[in-house]
Amino acid sequence: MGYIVRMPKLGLEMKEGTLLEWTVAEGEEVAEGDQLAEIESEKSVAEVEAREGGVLRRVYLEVDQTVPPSTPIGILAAPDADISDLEAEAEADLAEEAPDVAGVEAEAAASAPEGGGAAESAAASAGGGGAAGGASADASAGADVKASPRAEKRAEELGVDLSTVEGTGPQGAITADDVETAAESAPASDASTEPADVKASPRAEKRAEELGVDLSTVEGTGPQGAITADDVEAAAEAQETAAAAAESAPAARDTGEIRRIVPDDAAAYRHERATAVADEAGATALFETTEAVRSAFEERVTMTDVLAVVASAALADHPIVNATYAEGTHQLHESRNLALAVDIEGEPTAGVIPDADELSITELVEARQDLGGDGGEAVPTFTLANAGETDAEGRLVNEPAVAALEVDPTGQRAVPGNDGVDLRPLVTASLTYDTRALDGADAEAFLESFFDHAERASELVLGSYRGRE
Amino acid sequence: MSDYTLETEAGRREALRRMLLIREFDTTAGERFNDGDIPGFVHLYIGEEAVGVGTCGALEPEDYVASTHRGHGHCISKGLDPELMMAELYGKADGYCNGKGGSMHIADVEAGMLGANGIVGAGPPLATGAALTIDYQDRDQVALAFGGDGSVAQGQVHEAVNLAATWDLPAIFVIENNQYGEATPVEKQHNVDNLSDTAGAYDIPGVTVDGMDVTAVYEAVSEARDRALAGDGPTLIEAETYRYRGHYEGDHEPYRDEAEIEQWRERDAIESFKERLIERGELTEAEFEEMQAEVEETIADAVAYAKDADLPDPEQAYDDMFGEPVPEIQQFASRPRADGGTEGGDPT
Ligand SMILES: Cc1ncc(C[n+]2csc(CCOP(=O)(O)OP(=O)(O)O)c2C)c(N)n1
Ligand SMILES: [Mg+2]
Repeated sequence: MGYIVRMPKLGLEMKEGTLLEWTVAEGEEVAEGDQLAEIESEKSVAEVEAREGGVLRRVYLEVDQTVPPSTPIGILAAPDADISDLEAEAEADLAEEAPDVAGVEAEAAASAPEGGGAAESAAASAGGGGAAGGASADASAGADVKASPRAEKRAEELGVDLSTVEGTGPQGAITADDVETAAESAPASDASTEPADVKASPRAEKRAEELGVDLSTVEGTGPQGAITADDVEAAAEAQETAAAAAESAPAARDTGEIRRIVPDDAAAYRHERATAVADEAGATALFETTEAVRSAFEERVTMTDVLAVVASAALADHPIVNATYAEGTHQLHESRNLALAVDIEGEPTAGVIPDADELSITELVEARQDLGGDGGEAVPTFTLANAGETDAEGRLVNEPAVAALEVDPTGQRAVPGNDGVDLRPLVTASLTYDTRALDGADAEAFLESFFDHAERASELVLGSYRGRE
Repeated sequence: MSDYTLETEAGRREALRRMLLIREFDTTAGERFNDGDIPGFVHLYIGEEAVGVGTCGALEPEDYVASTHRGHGHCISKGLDPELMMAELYGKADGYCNGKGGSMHIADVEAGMLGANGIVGAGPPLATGAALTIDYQDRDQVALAFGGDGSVAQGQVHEAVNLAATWDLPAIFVIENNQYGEATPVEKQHNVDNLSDTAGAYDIPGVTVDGMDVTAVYEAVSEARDRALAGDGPTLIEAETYRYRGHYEGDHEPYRDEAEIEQWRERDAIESFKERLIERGELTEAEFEEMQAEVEETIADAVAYAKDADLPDPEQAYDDMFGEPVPEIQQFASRPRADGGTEGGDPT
């Protein structure tokens, strides 16, 4: 009969999948149930199996390309079957999903004519939520540049112009590593990291580029807080005035995956620290929740994961803490990109878990375990350290983020018991904060909210356990 | 759809056909979900067909069944129409719940299907309630609830079984022990060896049967039905079975390995029942293939029908929600709509 092989939809929340491998070549024969391909989605790898025996007649997706679920990726049919109808349907779907993808990938995918990463859209047709952050063509990338989808993503994040990068991949294609190398050797100043949640009109964007204004620092006065061209001009003026007065602005950070925590002496003077002690209910709840979750459904959970969930709830109450500070602007962020201090081979290190608030506890565990690998690429908006699990101490703030929370659950409190003294858990929490953005009252309010949430940790964690119905 | 009993040759062939129909329906539903056609979640019944078919074969059309989140097999066993079921999965207006329920809310009270249910353990209270009605009105019927191994640990299941037992209601509880509740193996959920042991707490009969054997399930439920009709109260039946697919489509299944699935597949309920019918001279290989082809066609037609059917009118969004009009909802429903329409639905 034959059918169109599509990027499988795995679960409700999948937005896109990346082809890791075609396990059979175009023209090769397979039996029903044989593996056709391997794909990756949200850090999980899955097989695409043949639903019937036949030959992989067409291939529409190349290794490393990323598309939304249900995008055609190939055609499986009997060797002699007429597949013109299937081809027409697949190609129509691809064309519909990517009307104007002509750029980078289509070029790179010489053997996959319609390959060009049917990007952005199909979420709508799949009825599923959310924009499918598609893979492909970035208009700025110039039509004749060959780059892998990951390289493009990296380039966008690091503000690297792909046309200036030399490719070392197959057929001279640019790899993500090439982009990173290029970013390192480029002058740091322009590689600013524009948070994805900035809303600006096209004219404002153009103006910002002309005037060299970082949009993430501009306050929008347009509809829904969008930045207008006027806002950009006002910001440019203010920037000039400020630049004259201010000390040189902190350099935009490299957004590399794993960063070593190096005490930054220059930053120290503007950091203060507030400390609070959990009352018994809060402390007990943290331990009991960790233990309950571990024995009930997720053995890999540690206190750190529970702390991350609790901290995330406190951040929701105090958005001013989930923020960055650069160029005189205290910028609040919608996404909670949590830098987690962990010890890797004895070295305190911080890896970023992007959108930590959106993760289920299981996903959080996996993200944490993955930090040693090529983990997050997002700019941290907050740092968390569990003093029980890392030696990182004190100046933890990952600039441009404005605050870091260090929780020490290892303490003990002696209380009078039936016969002598009972030892009870003692949990302390310290918030180190950038005094340019926050003050002591902010820090205390945050800590109070943190311990309030700690008391209902199990509720929060269960809420973040997206039980599948 | 014809009624069937495993006592006759025709009934046994019908039982086999229904098992095939369930497998084809769910295989197709999984593929359609994978390709992005079906919104929401689907939990597939593949591997557990003998439980639904054996159970409903022992029931009469007027008996009530309360189902679970893994309910497609129960619906087909009870005789629901695969076309209307598929339309419901596709969210279409012709579906059993006008496309507003989806996989986990297929219901057809007239056919005795009290509904699939997204809430684990919510079926038994419905069955106990239906059994109370039957008892009160002195009718010759029974009410049966399916539940997973996971549901046995739910408080409302205890309440439902306890009440049915205390009042000798004509109820039957069938526990589908497919070895896992989501990712948790049954040994890590319960302290008893057999889930049927819990029947002792209510002083009702509890039996564990091979859920991969459609006849064994049929016999146990038949006996339970006789008991219920005689006014002797409920029975708790545990059917040992296995789901071949993940908990939901897209489940990465880190909690089990291929070898385990293979072991259960070797005892496949459809395969072994087919062999038995062939041995008894009640079926030939050719007839089986014909049956399989028919079933495939039925399901392909159901998909074509569902794809083609219309989506529900937005104005129906507030229909079927409450028995009595609720002013707040009515007010809400009559607000101007984003798509330009102004009429709200009837919120009753
Ligand atoms: C009351 C309730 N708790 C939790 C869930 C989430 N959930 C959905 S299915 C499931 C597992 C049910 O396991 P089991 O009863 O064995 O049924 P199976 O999925 O194995 O058929 C859980 C916990 C739910 N839907 N309802
Ligand atoms: Mg189960």
